[in-house]
Amino acid sequence: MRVAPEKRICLNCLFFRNDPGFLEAEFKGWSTLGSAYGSVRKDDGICSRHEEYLSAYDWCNQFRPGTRLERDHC
Amino acid sequence: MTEKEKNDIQLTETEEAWDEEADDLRVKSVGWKELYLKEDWWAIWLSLGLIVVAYAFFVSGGSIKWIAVHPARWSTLTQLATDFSSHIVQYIAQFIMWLVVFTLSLKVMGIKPREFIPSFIFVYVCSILIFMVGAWEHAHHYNLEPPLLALALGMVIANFIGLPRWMDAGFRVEYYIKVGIILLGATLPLTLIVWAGPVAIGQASIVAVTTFLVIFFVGRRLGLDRRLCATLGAGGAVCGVSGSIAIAGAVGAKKEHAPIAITMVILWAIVMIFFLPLVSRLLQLHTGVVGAWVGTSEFADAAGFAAAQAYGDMAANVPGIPGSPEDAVWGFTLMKVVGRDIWIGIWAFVMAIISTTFWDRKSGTKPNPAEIWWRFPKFVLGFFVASIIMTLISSQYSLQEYNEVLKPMLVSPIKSLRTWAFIFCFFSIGLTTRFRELASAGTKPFWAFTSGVVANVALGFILSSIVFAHYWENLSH
Repeated sequence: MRVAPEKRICLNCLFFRNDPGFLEAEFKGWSTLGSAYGSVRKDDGICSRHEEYLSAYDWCNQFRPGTRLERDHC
Repeated sequence: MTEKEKNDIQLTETEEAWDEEADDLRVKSVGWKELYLKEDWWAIWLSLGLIVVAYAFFVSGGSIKWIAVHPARWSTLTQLATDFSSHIVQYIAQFIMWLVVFTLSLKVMGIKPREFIPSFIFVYVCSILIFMVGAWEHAHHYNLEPPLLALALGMVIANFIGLPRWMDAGFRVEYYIKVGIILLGATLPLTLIVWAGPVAIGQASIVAVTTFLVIFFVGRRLGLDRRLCATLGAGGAVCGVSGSIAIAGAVGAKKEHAPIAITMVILWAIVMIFFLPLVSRLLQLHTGVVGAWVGTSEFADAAGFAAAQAYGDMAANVPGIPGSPEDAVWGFTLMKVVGRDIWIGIWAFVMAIISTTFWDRKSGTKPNPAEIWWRFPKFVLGFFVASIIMTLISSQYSLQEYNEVLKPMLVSPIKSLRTWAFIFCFFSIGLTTRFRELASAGTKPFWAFTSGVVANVALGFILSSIVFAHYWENLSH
């Protein structure tokens, strides 16, 4: 069974990282005058594949399922 | 399995697999779970909870002023020691109150109590000392206003002594400032927001659009990537780091763009915390005007409050500065929170449309108008609700009753707790400002951002002190 196209977004991708603690550690200075725990960030995060900071609802043709279960099967 | 095969996209699992296990560093869509996962909402629950409890005590004939203790003005160390020792139990109770509410809420958001608790103990103890120095009757002679002192002390500790990284868990700048802003709403009459809000929105819009365009086009002229230009522009025009990050996500910025904007915002915000109050003091500007100027030209809520409150403290102690200390904070809040912060979702939405439509992005999704709501800084709602609640309560009392009963028993204790939250915030700004760790921005981003700073500060000064001066000088009326 293939993943539905609408699910092939960054939010569900192996390469996407949007944990707020991780983001604040990655972007030094963020917590000085801002916060990754605030509403304005929404679900945004870093794509480790493209080295971009993206909306969780972006997509690209290099999407890869993100659960450990699926990675084990790769 | 070959490397190529490993990298091939595998889309063969069932949809159910998505929810079985989540990667540690990936958080599923927050959606309405932001009611307990985002600090904006926690700031609302915490602050409105405090206001409700304060009112409950008030209607039952009591007050929370016992726990809202703060150092009294002193001139000798003996006075200071006597005052502190006679209120030590109240300080302990207040500390426990803050510790419990912050620890529990931050634990839900994912911050470990074993890291937060020792860190917050440090923050609270230092905040008492900062508060004490600020209460010294000669403190203003040495520019020892609590906001500036907290900031400077924090930066000295962070850059010359150093603290373990895990202690950052307690230096939650934004959380503290959001709590402080909502508590501030309880001391800001709704009628004032209605009267000055449109002016604030108009002035903020003029400056924000101008600043963004200056930074964007100077950056483009210097050959910078337009996504970096937009990220920098939002940092200068909308609301500092939060604006930069929101726009970076909306336009799909490169990973290194956001840290560059963060560096620029922090450097200029720190400069402005000291520059704006000191220049205003030299020019003897009205506190309301300075509040509006800071709200227009500072780059972050926390930094702006430090500057506005510092100038308010100066006005309370230095002869010749017109206006009340509250005018500075009110002017700033109206301009920054009401005039600028509320537009961040719209900026992100518009920039997402522009980037996906005109910038040939290879990835990206069609922006959804719901984006405006989800990116809205929800703590602003708490600010408005706090103002409405207190305005309704106040309307039941005459001016004399307000000054004799409501103010000392209800409003002043809330104001005291607000001041504590601000000091936690200002000290945390200093503690997290580690100049060596900031990303190297490069000269081009520096000049692009700085051009926006110049335009912003000049335009902000003209609009605040000349064009709309009448409004900002009459906030108290």
